[in-house]
Amino acid sequence: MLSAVFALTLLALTFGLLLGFASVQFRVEGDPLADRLDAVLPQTQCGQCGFPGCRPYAEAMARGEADFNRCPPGGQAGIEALAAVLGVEPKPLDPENGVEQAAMIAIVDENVCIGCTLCLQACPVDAILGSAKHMHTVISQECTGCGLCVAPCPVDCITLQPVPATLATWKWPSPLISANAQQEPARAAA
Amino acid sequence: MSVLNTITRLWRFHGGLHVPEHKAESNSAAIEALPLPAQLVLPLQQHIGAAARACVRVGERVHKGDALARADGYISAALHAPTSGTVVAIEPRPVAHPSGIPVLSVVLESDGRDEWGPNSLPTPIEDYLRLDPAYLRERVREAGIVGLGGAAFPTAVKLNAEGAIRVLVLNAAECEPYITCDDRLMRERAHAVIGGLLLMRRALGVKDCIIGIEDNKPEAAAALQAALEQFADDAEDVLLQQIPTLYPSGSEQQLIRVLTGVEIGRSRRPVDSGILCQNVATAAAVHDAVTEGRPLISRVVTVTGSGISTPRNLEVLIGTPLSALIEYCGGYTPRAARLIIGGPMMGLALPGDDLPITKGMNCVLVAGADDVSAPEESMPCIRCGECMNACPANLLPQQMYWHARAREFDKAQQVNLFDCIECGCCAAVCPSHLPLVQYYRFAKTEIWAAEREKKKAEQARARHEFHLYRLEREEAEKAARLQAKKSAAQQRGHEAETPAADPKQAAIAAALARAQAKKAAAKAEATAGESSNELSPEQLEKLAAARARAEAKRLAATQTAGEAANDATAALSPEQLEKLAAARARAEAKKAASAPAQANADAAPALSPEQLEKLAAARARAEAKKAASAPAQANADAAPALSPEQLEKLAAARARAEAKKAASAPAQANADAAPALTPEQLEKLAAARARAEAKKAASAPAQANADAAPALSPEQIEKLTAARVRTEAKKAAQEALAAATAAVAALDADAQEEAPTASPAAEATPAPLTEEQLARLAAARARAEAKKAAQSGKPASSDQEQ
Amino acid sequence: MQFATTTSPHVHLGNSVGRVMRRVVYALLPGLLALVWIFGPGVLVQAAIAVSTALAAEALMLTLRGKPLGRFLGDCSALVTALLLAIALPPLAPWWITVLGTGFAIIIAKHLYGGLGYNPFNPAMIGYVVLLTSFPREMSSWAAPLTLHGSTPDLATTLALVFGERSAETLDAVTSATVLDLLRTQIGLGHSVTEVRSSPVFGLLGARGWEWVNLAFLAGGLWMCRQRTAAWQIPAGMLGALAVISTLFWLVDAARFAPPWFHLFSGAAIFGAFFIATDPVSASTTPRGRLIYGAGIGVLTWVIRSVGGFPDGVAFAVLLMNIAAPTIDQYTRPRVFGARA
Repeated sequence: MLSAVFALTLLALTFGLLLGFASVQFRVEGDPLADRLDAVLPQTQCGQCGFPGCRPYAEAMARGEADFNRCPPGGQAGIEALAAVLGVEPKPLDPENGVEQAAMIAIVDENVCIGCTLCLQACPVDAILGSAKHMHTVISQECTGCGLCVAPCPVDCITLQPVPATLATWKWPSPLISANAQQEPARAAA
Repeated sequence: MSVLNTITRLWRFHGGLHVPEHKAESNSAAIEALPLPAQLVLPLQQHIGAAARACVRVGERVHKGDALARADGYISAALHAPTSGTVVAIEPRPVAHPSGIPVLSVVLESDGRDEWGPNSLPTPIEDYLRLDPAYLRERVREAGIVGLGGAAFPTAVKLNAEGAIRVLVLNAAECEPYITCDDRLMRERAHAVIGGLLLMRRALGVKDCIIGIEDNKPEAAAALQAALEQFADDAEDVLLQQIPTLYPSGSEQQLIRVLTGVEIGRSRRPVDSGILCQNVATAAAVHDAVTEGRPLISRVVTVTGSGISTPRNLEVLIGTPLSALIEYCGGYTPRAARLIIGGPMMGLALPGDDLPITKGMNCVLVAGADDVSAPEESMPCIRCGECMNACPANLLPQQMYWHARAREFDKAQQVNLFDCIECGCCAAVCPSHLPLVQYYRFAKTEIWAAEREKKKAEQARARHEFHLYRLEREEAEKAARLQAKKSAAQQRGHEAETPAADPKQAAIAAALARAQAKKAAAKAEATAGESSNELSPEQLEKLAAARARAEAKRLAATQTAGEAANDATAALSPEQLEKLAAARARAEAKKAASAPAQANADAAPALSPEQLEKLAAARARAEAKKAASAPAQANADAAPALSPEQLEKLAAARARAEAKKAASAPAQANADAAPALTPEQLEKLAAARARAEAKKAASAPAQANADAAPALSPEQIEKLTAARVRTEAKKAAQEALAAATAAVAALDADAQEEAPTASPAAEATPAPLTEEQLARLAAARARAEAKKAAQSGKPASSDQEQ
Repeated sequence: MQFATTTSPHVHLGNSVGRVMRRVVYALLPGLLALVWIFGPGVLVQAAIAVSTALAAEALMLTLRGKPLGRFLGDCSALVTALLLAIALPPLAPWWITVLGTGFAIIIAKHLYGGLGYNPFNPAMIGYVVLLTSFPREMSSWAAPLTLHGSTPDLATTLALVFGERSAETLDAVTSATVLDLLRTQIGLGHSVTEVRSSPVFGLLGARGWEWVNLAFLAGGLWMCRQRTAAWQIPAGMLGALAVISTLFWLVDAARFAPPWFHLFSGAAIFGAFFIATDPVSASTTPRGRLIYGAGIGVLTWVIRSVGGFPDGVAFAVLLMNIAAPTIDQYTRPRVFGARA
C-alpha cells in the first residue's frame, strides 16, 4: 500500500518535471496572434470594423477586445478564415459594420475634381495621385476600394465602382449555382 | 546514335476513351477557300500571352498582309490584315470566350480587291533549310504565328528554346472527334507540313523529329510519307509513327508519352525533358511564312456536324464571321442544336454565330440534338471510379470534384487539381452526369482569384505601412521646422521692426495680394482678371503692400499648404526627382492603359531633353487614348523654363493632341503653354488655341470661362496669350511643386517595387524657391480660385464677353 | 439562331446510375436461380417482400426530403439494396424480419446519411447486422438444402412459414444449421475439422448445396467485373487475402482450422466479395486502395469466422472496412501523370 503510493507519487513527480522541462526547452515561438489575424484580413484599411485600419483591428481581436465578424470586405470567407485562426466557430457578418459586396475601386470624376487634395490625405494606401489645384487620379492597381476618400470630397466627385471583369480575371461560375439559376435557354425558332 | 533508334515501341498512357469519331462527315471533300467576307473582326487577343497593340488608326487603308497590331511583350503575337481594306473601328467586340466579355478588336472593311501591299511581304526564301536559325525565328515571330492546334501559344516563343531540345514532335494526332482540318491539310499540303517541320527543326537546332499520327488517318500518313521521300536526305531522322486511336492522344503530354515514354507533367515542362511539340497546321504556317513571306492571315477550319447542311473543310481568313462559314456550308439543318467551337470533348458552346474566327479555332461543330448530351439533371456521385479509370492524367477526379464542390480549394490542389488538362474524359463516362470539368474550371479560377487577392492584400499592407511611416515623418519634420522658424523669428524681431522684412514673407504677401485682386476681378469680369497680370512689378508690389496686412488671416490659412509644397520640393535630390518623373510616367501609363476615362498628363519641372521627349510621347499616347475613348475634358500642362528645343517638341506633341481632341470630342479643350516661347511659337500656339477656343465656344454652352476670345485681333491674341502663358507657367510650377509632395510619398513605395524603366538623370535640382517662383505660386493659386468661383458661380461668363 | 451553352464535354458515352444498378441486378440472377433450386422458393418470397418494402421506404424518404421521385426511384439503387439483403436473409425467415431489415437499411442507413452516394456504410449490410444482432434465432434457421433432404419446401409451405404461425416441428423439418455454425460449435466441443467435415451437411468444397450457389454468384460477379460495373480489385483482394490467411493457418494446424477452399466456398465469401464489398459508395476508390480494402475484408472475415463470436463474418468485415475506406484512399493516391515516382 505504502510502496504503491510512493511509486505513484514518484512517477507523477518525474513526469511532471519532464513535462515542465519540455515546455521550457521546446517552446515553439509561434507567430503572435495579431500577425496571423492581420495576415488573413483583406488589408482594405477601410475602417468599417471601427478601427483605424486592419492592423489595429487584428490587434484588438488578438487582445479579445473585438469580435471577428466585423470585416465586410473580407466577407463570410474572411470571417471563416479569422474563426479558423482563432479556433472558434464562424458566425455571420455583423450588419452594423456593413454588408459584403463585390470588390470596388474609387474613380475620380476629373471634370468635377477641383484639386483640393483632401482625398489624398484620406487615402490609407496613397493610391491617389495629384496635387493642389490639379485634378487627382486613382492608381487603380493600388486602390483597395475602402471608400475613405469619398466622404472628404467637397464636390462629391469620387465614386466607388465595381472592379470590371477582364478575360484574365473572369471566373467560371460554380456549377452548383448555375444549375439552380440557369435553365436551358430556349432555342429560338429557326 | 539517333534517339529515334532507341524508340522501338509505343507507350501507353493511363485511361483515355474511345469516342465515336465522326470524321467521315467532313474528311472526304477537298479544302475550299471561303469567298471574301465584307467585314473582318480581328481581336487583338487571339493567343496566350499579352494582347497585341494596334498599330493602325481608324480610317487607315491597309493592304493584305500589312501589320494591324504588333506583339506587345515577349509572349505575344502580331496580327496582320487578312485582306486589303479600311480600318473602320478599333473597339471592343465579343469573342468566343465563355465570359462573353468583349475584347478590343480591329474591324476591317474589305475593299474586295484583296491586294497585297508593296511592302507587306518580306522576300520569299527558297533555300530555307540553309538559313540562320535566328533569322528563321524572327520570320516566324513577324508572321504572328501561334499554335494552330487550339492552344494558340506564340510559336516563336517555343522556337526560342534552341539548344535545349533533343526531339521535335509533330502533332498530327487530331484525336478530337469530328475535326478533320489537319487530316485534309496533310493530305493536300503534305509538302508544306514537312517543309515547316524541317524549318522548325533548323530553327531549334534539333536533329530528331517524330511525327505522331493516329491510325485512323491512313491517307494523311501516306501523303506525309510521300512528302518525306521527296525531301530525301533533308528529311533524314524524321520518323513517321502511327499510334492507336485513343482520345486524348493528341494532347501534347499524352502524345509525347505515347511516342517517347516520357511523362511531362505540371512539375516538368516539355523543355526540361528536351522535347518540343508542334501542330501540323502550325508547321504549314511556318513554311508559308518563310518561303512566301505570308503572315498568318488564314487557317483551315472544319465545319461539320449533323446540324450543318454540307460539312467540309474551309480555308478561312482570320476574322471572318462564323455566320459566313455556316452560310457557305448551306446553313443549319433543322436538327441543329448546339454550336461548338472546337471538338465535342473540349470545345466551347456558343450562344450564336456572330463571332469572328480566330487563329486558334480549328472546328465549327453544329451538333444535332442527339449527337450531344442533353444538359441532363445530374445525380449524386456514387464514387464508382469510372472517372478515375478514364483520366489520362491519372488523377482522382471524384475527389477533386468533392473538394471543388465544397469550395475546399486547398484540398483540391492537394489532389493535383492543376494537373487536370480538362480533356473531358471523366465527365463523358460519369454515370451521374456530373459536370466535372466545369467544377475543375471553377475551382481553378477561384484559386487564381484568391492568389491575386492575396497579392493585392500584401501590396496594400505594405503601402499602408509606408503611409503611416510617411505621416509620422512629416509630422516630425513639421515640428522641427516650426521650431526653427520660431527661433528665427525671435532673432529677426531683435534686428528689425518691419513686419514684411522677411523677403519670403513679403513675396508671399505680394503674391496673395495679386491673387486676391485677380479673384475679385474674375468675379466681376474675367478679362479684367487676366489683365491684372500685366501690371508692372512696381505696381504689383505697391498693391501688395497695401493688401498685405489685410490678408494676414488668409496667409495663415494657406501657409500650411504652401509650406508643404515648398519644403517637399526643396528637399528633393536629383535621384528623387528622377524617381518622381519615372513614377509619374508609370502612373500615367497605367492610367492610360486601364481607364476608358480621362487621361491626364502632367509635366515635371526642369526636365532633361530625353525626359521631355518621353513625356511628350507619353502624353501623345494618353491624348490619343482620350480622343479615342472619351468625350471628356483634356488638360495638358507644361513645364516652366524649357529650352527652345524642348518647347518645340512639346508644342508639336501638343498640337497633335489638340488636333485629335478637336476632331473627336464634343468637350472642352484646355491647352496651356509654357513661358518664354519665341514669337513664332507663340503665334503658332495662339492660332492653335484660337481654333480650339472657337470649337469650345461653339460646342460647349456651359462652363466656357474667360478663356474664349475668338473675336480678338491677332495682336490682342498675342498679348493675351503671352499673359496667359505666364500665368499658366506659374500654375504649372506650383503644381509641379505640390505634386512633388504627393509623389515623394509614392517614391519610396515605388522604389520597393521592381526597378522602373529608368529615365536619365534629371538635370536641374530645384533650389529653395526664389522670390519669383513664390510670386508665381501665389498667383497661380489665386487664379485657380477665381476659376473655381467662376465655374460654380457663373456658368456662362464668356458669352457676355462676346 | 440561339443555341444552348453547356460546358464541355458535349458528348456522354451513355453510362448512368440506373444502368450500373441494373447490371448488378442482372449479375445477381444466376445466384438467385441457384438459391431457388437448392433452397426452394423462399428466397423469391423474401425478395418480393424486401423489394416492395424498399421501394415504399425509398419513395417515402424521397418525398420527405423533397427529391424528384421519378429520377431517384428510377436509379434502381433501392432495388439492389433490397435484393442483396433478401439474398443474405434465411429463405424461411418471418416476413417482419425482412420488412424491418429493409426499412432500417433504406431509411436509416441510406437516407438519414444523405441518400444515394452519401452513405458511409453499405445499407444492406447494416440492415443484415441489425437483424443478426437483434434476432439471432430467426436469423440462424436456414432452410436445409435440396441435396440434404432430397426435396425443398414448396411455395405453400414457404408462404405459411414466412407469413403464418411458425411451429417448431415444421421449422425443424425444413431447416438445418449452416456449416459455419456447425463448424464453430463442433470445434468448440473439441472435435477436429476433419471429423466435423464428415457430417452430411458438408460437401466437396464447402457446404453441401452452397457450393453451387457460390459458383453461380462467382459467374455473375466475374461478368460484372468484366463489364467494369464492379472494380475487380476488391473481390481479388478479398478472396486472395482470405485464401492466403486460411491456407497459412490450415498448414499450421489442419485440425483446428478449415482448409482454404472451405472458406472460399461456404457462407457469404463469394457473394460478399463480388456484390457486397464492391458497393462503390462505401468502398475505397483508388486502385491500390481497393486491393487493400478487399484484403482487409478477407482477413477480417477469416478472423471473425475462426476466432470471433459469429459464424460468418463477411457483413461485419465489410462494415469495419467501410470505416477505414476514406483513410485508405488518403494514403493510396495514384502517382499523377508526369509526377516523379
